[in-house]
Amino acid sequence: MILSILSAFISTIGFSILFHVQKKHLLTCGVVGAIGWSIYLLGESKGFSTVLSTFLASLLVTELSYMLAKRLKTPITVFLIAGIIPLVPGLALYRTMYSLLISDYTIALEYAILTFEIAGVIASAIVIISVFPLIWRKPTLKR
Amino acid sequence: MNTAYPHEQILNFAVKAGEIMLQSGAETYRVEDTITRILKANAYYSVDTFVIPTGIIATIEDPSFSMCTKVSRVKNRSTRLDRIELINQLSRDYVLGNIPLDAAVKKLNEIENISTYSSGMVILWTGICSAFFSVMFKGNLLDFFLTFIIGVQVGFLHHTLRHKHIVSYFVLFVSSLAIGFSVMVSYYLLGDKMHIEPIVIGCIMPLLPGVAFTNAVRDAIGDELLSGISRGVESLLIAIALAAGIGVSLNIGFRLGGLL
Repeated sequence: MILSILSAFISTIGFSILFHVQKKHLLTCGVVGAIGWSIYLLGESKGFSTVLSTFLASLLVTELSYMLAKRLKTPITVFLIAGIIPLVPGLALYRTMYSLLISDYTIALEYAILTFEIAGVIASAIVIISVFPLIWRKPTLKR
Repeated sequence: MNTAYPHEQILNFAVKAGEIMLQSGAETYRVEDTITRILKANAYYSVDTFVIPTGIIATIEDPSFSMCTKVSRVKNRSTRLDRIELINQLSRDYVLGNIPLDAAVKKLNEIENISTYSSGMVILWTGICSAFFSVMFKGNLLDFFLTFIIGVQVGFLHHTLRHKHIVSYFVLFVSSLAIGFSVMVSYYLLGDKMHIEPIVIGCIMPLLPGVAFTNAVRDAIGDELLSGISRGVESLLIAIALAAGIGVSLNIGFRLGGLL
C-alpha cells in the first residue's frame, strides 16, 4: 500500500511534467495526487465500492486544490488535474475493451457502465465542491 | 503588428493573451475572464468577449473611437499549464497597474516562447510516469521496467507525431496501437512472467483525457454551455480512440498468437 501511494506520488509528478507545470509546484502536485490515491485505497480496504471510493477521493482532491489555488494564487487546474489523474477510470476502460475482445459482452457492458459511473462521480465531486460554497455568497446584481 | 491607436494595442494584447491561454489548454471561462479583466481595466464604455475552444471574439466600445472588434481563430491546442499560470499572473499585474502595456506585451511574447521542460525530459518522464502507474495497478518489477521502456517509446512517438499537426485523435489512436503491439511482442518473448493489464493501463494513463475531462466539467460549472459540451465530447472521443487502438492491436496479437 505504501509502495502504491509512493508510486502515485511519483507518477503524478511525472504527469505534471508532461503538462509543463512550473517546477515550484511539482512537489505539491505530487502530494495532492498521493493523497487522492491514498483516500481511494483506504476506501477500497474498508470495503467501499470503487465508485464510492473514487467519489470520496475526488471530493477531497477538489477541496484541497481549491485551498492550494487560493493560497498560492495559481490556476486551480494545475492541482486539480494532478489530483484527478490517478482516479481517471483507466482500469475500467481497459477491462471494457478486453471483455469486448474476448466477446464477453455482459462483462463488457458492466465495465463500460463502471467507466461512465466513475467519470460521472468525479465530475459531480468537482461540481459539489465548486458550487456549494456559492449558496452562501452574497447576491450581486451585476457579475 | 504596429498600430497607432492605444485602444487597438490594448485589444491586441488582450486577445493575444487569450489566444495563448486557449492554446495552452485553459478553461474557456478563464480565458473570457482574463480578456474581460484586461479590457475593463481601461474603463471602456462596454466590453464583450465570446470565447469557444477554437476561437475568440472581443469587442470594445467607447465614445472616443466608437467600436473595435478582433476575431481570432485558435488552432494547435496542447496542454501547457506553465503558460496559463504565467499569463494569469501577468494579467493580474496589468490590471492592478503594476506593469505598463509595452512591458506587458514584451513579457507576453516571452511567455509564448517559454519552455519549462525540454522534449527529451518530457519523453523520459512519460516513461517514468507510466512505469509507476503500472505499480499502482499491481504490476511487479518486470512489468515496471517493461512499462518504462514502452512508455518512453510511446512518449517519443506521441511527441513526434503531435508536432506534425495531425488530428489529435489519430495521433492517440496510433500511440495506443503502438502500446498494444509492443505489449504483444514482449508477451511472446517473456510469456506469463509479465502481466498485460498493468502494463497497458500504465502506458495509456498519460494519454487518457484527464485534462479534457476536467476542463469540460469546469467549463460546465462556469456556465459555458458550448465549451462544456464540446470538451466533454472531446474527452469521449479521445477515450474511444485509445480503446480502439488497444483493441485492434491486442486483437491482432491474440489471433496471431492463437491465445484465444
